Amino acid sequence: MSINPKTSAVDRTALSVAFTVGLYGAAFGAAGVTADFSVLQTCLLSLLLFSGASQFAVVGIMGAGGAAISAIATATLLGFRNALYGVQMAPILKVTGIKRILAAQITIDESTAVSTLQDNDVDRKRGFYLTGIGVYIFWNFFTFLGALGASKIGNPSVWGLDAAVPAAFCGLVWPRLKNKRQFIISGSAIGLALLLTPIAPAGVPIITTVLLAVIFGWKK
Amino acid sequence: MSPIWIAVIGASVTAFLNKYIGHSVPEKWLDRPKVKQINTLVPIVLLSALVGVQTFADKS
Repeated sequence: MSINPKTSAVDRTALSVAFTVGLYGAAFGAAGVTADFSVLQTCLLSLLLFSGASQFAVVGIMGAGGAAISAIATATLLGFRNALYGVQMAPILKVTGIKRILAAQITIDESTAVSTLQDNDVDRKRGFYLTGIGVYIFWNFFTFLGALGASKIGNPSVWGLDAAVPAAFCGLVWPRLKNKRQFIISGSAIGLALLLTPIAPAGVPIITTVLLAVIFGWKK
Repeated sequence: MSPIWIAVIGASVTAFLNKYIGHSVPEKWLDRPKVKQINTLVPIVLLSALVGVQTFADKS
Protein backbone atom coordinates (compact mmCIF):
# COMPACT_ATOMS: atom_id res chain seq x y z
CA MET A 1 0.00 0.00 0.00
CA SER A 2 1.45 3.35 -0.93
CA ILE A 3 0.41 6.42 0.96
CA ASN A 4 -0.02 9.57 -1.07
CA PRO A 5 -1.48 12.60 0.71
CA LYS A 6 -1.11 14.70 -2.46
CA THR A 7 -3.54 12.70 -4.56
CA SER A 8 -5.68 10.87 -1.99
CA ALA A 9 -8.15 12.78 0.17
CA VAL A 10 -8.44 9.84 2.58
CA ASP A 11 -4.68 9.75 3.10
CA ARG A 12 -4.61 13.50 3.66
CA THR A 13 -7.33 13.38 6.30
CA ALA A 14 -5.86 10.31 8.00
CA LEU A 15 -2.34 11.70 8.23
CA SER A 16 -3.36 15.16 9.42
CA VAL A 17 -5.61 13.66 12.10
CA ALA A 18 -2.87 11.21 13.10
CA PHE A 19 -0.24 13.91 13.46
CA THR A 20 -2.44 16.46 15.26
CA VAL A 21 -3.78 13.92 17.75
CA GLY A 22 -0.38 12.29 18.08
CA LEU A 23 1.22 15.58 19.17
CA TYR A 24 -1.20 15.60 22.08
CA GLY A 25 0.57 12.44 23.28
CA ALA A 26 3.32 14.73 24.60
CA ALA A 27 0.79 16.27 27.02
CA PHE A 28 -0.18 12.79 28.15
CA GLY A 29 3.45 11.77 28.60
CA ALA A 30 4.08 14.82 30.77
CA ALA A 31 0.84 14.24 32.72
CA GLY A 32 1.83 10.62 33.44
CA VAL A 33 5.23 11.55 34.87
CA THR A 34 3.69 14.44 36.83
CA ALA A 35 1.26 11.94 38.41
CA ASP A 36 4.27 9.88 39.60
CA PHE A 37 4.09 7.24 36.88
CA SER A 38 7.51 6.15 35.59
CA VAL A 39 8.42 6.81 31.95
CA LEU A 40 7.94 3.07 31.32
CA GLN A 41 4.48 2.96 32.96
CA THR A 42 3.41 6.07 31.04
CA CYS A 43 4.59 4.62 27.72
CA LEU A 44 2.93 1.26 28.43
CA LEU A 45 -0.42 3.01 28.86
CA SER A 46 -0.06 4.50 25.38
CA LEU A 47 1.14 1.21 23.86
CA LEU A 48 -1.35 -1.11 25.55
CA LEU A 49 -4.38 0.89 26.69
CA PHE A 50 -4.23 3.28 23.69
CA SER A 51 -7.35 5.37 24.24
CA GLY A 52 -6.69 9.00 25.20
CA ALA A 53 -9.56 9.76 27.57
CA SER A 54 -9.10 6.49 29.49
CA GLN A 55 -5.35 7.07 29.75
CA PHE A 56 -5.81 10.57 31.16
CA ALA A 57 -8.41 9.18 33.58
CA VAL A 58 -5.96 6.56 34.88
CA VAL A 59 -3.16 9.06 35.55
CA GLY A 60 -5.61 11.70 36.83
CA ILE A 61 -7.24 9.39 39.37
CA MET A 62 -4.01 7.70 40.51
CA GLY A 63 -2.27 11.09 40.70
CA ALA A 64 -5.05 12.38 42.97
CA GLY A 65 -4.57 9.41 45.31
CA GLY A 66 -7.40 7.23 44.01
CA ALA A 67 -7.42 3.44 44.27
CA ALA A 68 -6.36 1.30 41.31
CA ILE A 69 -9.86 -0.17 41.09
CA SER A 70 -11.42 3.32 40.68
CA ALA A 71 -8.94 4.13 37.92
CA ILE A 72 -9.61 0.81 36.16
CA ALA A 73 -13.40 1.13 36.46
CA THR A 74 -13.48 4.72 35.18
CA ALA A 75 -11.14 3.92 32.29
CA THR A 76 -13.24 0.87 31.38
CA LEU A 77 -16.51 2.82 31.32
CA LEU A 78 -14.86 5.56 29.23
CA GLY A 79 -13.58 2.87 26.86
CA PHE A 80 -16.97 1.28 26.35
CA ARG A 81 -17.58 3.60 23.41
CA ASN A 82 -14.76 1.77 21.62
CA ALA A 83 -16.88 -1.40 21.84
CA LEU A 84 -19.64 0.41 19.95
CA TYR A 85 -17.11 1.61 17.38
CA GLY A 86 -16.06 -2.03 16.96
CA VAL A 87 -19.67 -3.00 16.28
CA GLN A 88 -19.75 -0.31 13.59
CA MET A 89 -16.38 -1.24 12.01
CA ALA A 90 -16.58 -5.07 12.06
CA PRO A 91 -18.93 -5.44 9.03
CA ILE A 92 -16.69 -3.09 7.00
CA LEU A 93 -13.32 -4.60 7.96
CA LYS A 94 -14.40 -8.29 7.99
CA VAL A 95 -11.22 -9.52 9.71
CA THR A 96 -10.53 -12.57 11.87
CA GLY A 97 -7.74 -13.97 14.04
CA ILE A 98 -4.62 -11.88 14.55
CA LYS A 99 -5.89 -9.21 12.14
CA ARG A 100 -8.99 -8.75 14.29
CA ILE A 101 -6.79 -8.33 17.37
CA LEU A 102 -4.76 -5.64 15.61
CA ALA A 103 -7.86 -3.92 14.23
CA ALA A 104 -9.44 -3.96 17.70
CA GLN A 105 -6.39 -2.30 19.26
CA ILE A 106 -6.64 0.68 16.87
CA THR A 107 -10.44 1.01 17.21
CA ILE A 108 -10.63 4.49 18.75
CA ASP A 109 -12.47 7.82 18.27
CA GLU A 110 -10.25 9.04 15.44
CA SER A 111 -9.96 5.91 13.29
CA THR A 112 -13.73 5.37 13.44
CA ALA A 113 -14.47 9.05 12.75
CA VAL A 114 -12.24 9.24 9.65
CA SER A 115 -13.68 5.96 8.39
CA THR A 116 -17.26 7.17 8.86
CA LEU A 117 -16.53 10.27 6.76
CA GLN A 118 -15.81 8.18 3.64
CA ASP A 119 -18.47 7.22 1.10
CA ASN A 120 -17.40 3.70 0.07
CA ASP A 121 -16.06 0.62 1.85
CA VAL A 122 -12.61 0.70 0.23
CA ASP A 123 -12.00 4.23 1.53
CA ARG A 124 -13.64 3.42 4.86
CA LYS A 125 -11.15 0.60 5.37
CA ARG A 126 -8.22 2.68 4.24
CA GLY A 127 -9.28 5.60 6.44
CA PHE A 128 -9.65 3.34 9.46
CA TYR A 129 -6.27 1.63 9.14
CA LEU A 130 -4.25 4.69 8.11
CA THR A 131 -5.70 6.82 10.90
CA GLY A 132 -5.50 4.06 13.52
CA ILE A 133 -1.91 3.07 12.71
CA GLY A 134 -0.90 6.71 12.21
CA VAL A 135 -2.30 7.82 15.58
CA TYR A 136 -0.69 4.77 17.21
CA ILE A 137 2.76 5.66 15.89
CA PHE A 138 2.62 9.41 16.59
CA TRP A 139 0.78 9.08 19.94
CA ASN A 140 3.37 6.63 21.26
CA PHE A 141 6.33 8.59 19.91
CA PHE A 142 5.13 11.85 21.48
CA THR A 143 4.11 10.13 24.74
CA PHE A 144 7.71 8.99 25.07
CA LEU A 145 9.07 12.48 24.31
CA GLY A 146 6.64 14.13 26.73
CA ALA A 147 7.37 11.64 29.51
CA LEU A 148 11.11 11.84 29.00
CA GLY A 149 11.00 15.64 28.87
CA ALA A 150 8.94 15.91 32.06
CA SER A 151 11.21 13.45 33.87
CA LYS A 152 14.28 15.54 32.97
CA ILE A 153 13.02 18.87 34.29
CA GLY A 154 12.70 17.87 37.93
CA ASN A 155 9.46 18.90 39.61
CA PRO A 156 6.99 19.27 36.72
CA SER A 157 4.38 21.11 38.80
CA VAL A 158 6.79 24.07 39.02
CA TRP A 159 6.30 24.41 35.26
CA GLY A 160 2.53 24.22 35.62
CA LEU A 161 2.44 20.82 33.95
CA ASP A 162 0.00 19.54 36.59
CA ALA A 163 -2.59 21.76 34.87
CA ALA A 164 -2.24 19.57 31.77
CA VAL A 165 -4.64 16.96 33.14
CA PRO A 166 -7.72 19.15 33.86
CA ALA A 167 -6.99 21.02 30.61
CA ALA A 168 -6.98 17.70 28.75
CA PHE A 169 -10.31 16.68 30.27
CA CYS A 170 -11.79 20.05 29.26
CA GLY A 171 -10.58 19.54 25.69
CA LEU A 172 -12.07 16.05 25.63
CA VAL A 173 -15.49 16.90 27.05
CA TRP A 174 -16.15 20.24 25.32
CA PRO A 175 -16.68 18.91 21.75
CA ARG A 176 -19.12 16.32 23.11
CA LEU A 177 -21.54 18.90 24.49
CA LYS A 178 -23.96 19.47 21.63
CA ASN A 179 -27.16 20.77 23.29
CA LYS A 180 -28.60 22.36 26.40
CA ARG A 181 -29.58 19.01 27.89
CA GLN A 182 -26.02 17.73 27.65
CA PHE A 183 -24.69 20.93 29.25
CA ILE A 184 -27.10 20.39 32.16
CA ILE A 185 -25.99 16.76 32.49
CA SER A 186 -22.35 17.85 32.40
CA GLY A 187 -23.02 20.45 35.12
CA SER A 188 -24.88 17.89 37.24
CA ALA A 189 -21.93 15.51 36.97
CA ILE A 190 -19.51 18.21 38.15
CA GLY A 191 -21.87 19.08 41.01
CA LEU A 192 -22.35 15.48 42.12
CA ALA A 193 -18.62 14.70 41.97
CA LEU A 194 -17.72 17.79 44.02
CA LEU A 195 -20.49 17.04 46.52
CA LEU A 196 -19.11 13.53 47.07
CA THR A 197 -15.42 14.53 47.11
CA PRO A 198 -15.22 15.35 50.87
CA ILE A 199 -17.06 12.17 51.93
CA ALA A 200 -15.98 9.46 49.46
CA PRO A 201 -12.51 8.01 48.72
CA ALA A 202 -10.68 9.59 45.75
CA GLY A 203 -11.95 8.21 42.43
CA VAL A 204 -15.34 7.12 43.78
CA PRO A 205 -17.07 10.51 43.19
CA ILE A 206 -16.11 10.30 39.51
CA ILE A 207 -17.33 6.77 38.88
CA THR A 208 -20.59 7.51 40.73
CA THR A 209 -21.59 10.04 38.08
CA VAL A 210 -22.10 7.20 35.60
CA LEU A 211 -25.46 6.77 37.35
CA LEU A 212 -26.46 10.14 35.88
CA ALA A 213 -25.65 8.83 32.40
CA VAL A 214 -27.81 5.78 32.99
CA ILE A 215 -30.72 7.76 34.44
CA PHE A 216 -30.71 10.52 31.79
CA GLY A 217 -29.96 8.07 28.95
CA TRP A 218 -32.73 5.69 29.99
CA LYS A 219 -35.33 8.43 30.36
CA LYS A 220 -34.90 10.03 26.95
CA MET B 1 2.84 -5.00 42.73
CA SER B 2 2.32 -1.27 43.25
CA PRO B 3 -1.14 0.30 42.78
CA ILE B 4 0.13 2.16 39.70
CA TRP B 5 1.21 -1.10 38.05
CA ILE B 6 -2.16 -2.68 38.87
CA ALA B 7 -3.94 0.31 37.31
CA VAL B 8 -1.71 0.28 34.18
CA ILE B 9 -2.15 -3.44 33.52
CA GLY B 10 -5.78 -3.71 34.65
CA ALA B 11 -6.97 -0.72 32.61
CA SER B 12 -5.02 -1.93 29.56
CA VAL B 13 -6.65 -5.35 29.73
CA THR B 14 -10.21 -4.01 30.08
CA ALA B 15 -9.59 -1.41 27.35
CA PHE B 16 -8.60 -4.16 24.94
CA LEU B 17 -11.57 -6.31 25.96
CA ASN B 18 -13.91 -3.38 25.25
CA LYS B 19 -12.41 -2.98 21.78
CA TYR B 20 -12.30 -6.69 20.99
CA ILE B 21 -15.83 -7.42 22.23
CA GLY B 22 -17.18 -4.76 19.87
CA HIS B 23 -15.61 -6.54 16.90
CA SER B 24 -16.82 -9.96 18.03
CA VAL B 25 -20.35 -9.88 19.47
CA PRO B 26 -23.44 -10.00 17.25
CA GLU B 27 -24.42 -6.47 16.23
CA LYS B 28 -27.87 -6.67 17.80
CA TRP B 29 -26.45 -7.12 21.32
CA LEU B 30 -25.03 -3.62 21.48
CA ASP B 31 -26.81 -1.82 18.66
CA ARG B 32 -29.79 -0.68 20.76
CA PRO B 33 -31.15 2.85 21.18
CA LYS B 34 -30.91 2.85 25.00
CA VAL B 35 -27.33 1.52 24.97
CA LYS B 36 -26.40 4.23 22.46
CA GLN B 37 -28.10 7.01 24.43
CA ILE B 38 -26.39 5.98 27.66
CA ASN B 39 -23.08 5.54 25.85
CA THR B 40 -23.22 9.12 24.49
CA LEU B 41 -23.63 10.39 28.04
CA VAL B 42 -21.02 8.20 29.77
CA PRO B 43 -17.96 10.12 28.52
CA ILE B 44 -19.77 13.42 29.19
CA VAL B 45 -20.46 12.70 32.87
CA LEU B 46 -17.12 11.01 33.62
CA LEU B 47 -14.99 13.65 31.87
CA SER B 48 -17.04 16.49 33.41
CA ALA B 49 -16.61 14.95 36.87
CA LEU B 50 -12.87 14.67 36.21
CA VAL B 51 -12.70 18.34 35.15
CA GLY B 52 -14.53 19.33 38.35
CA VAL B 53 -12.53 17.20 40.74
CA GLN B 54 -9.14 17.91 39.15
CA THR B 55 -9.78 21.65 39.04
CA PHE B 56 -11.33 22.24 42.46
CA ALA B 57 -10.15 19.41 44.66
CA ASP B 58 -7.10 19.90 46.87
CA LYS B 59 -4.16 18.06 45.40
CA SER B 60 -1.88 17.85 48.42
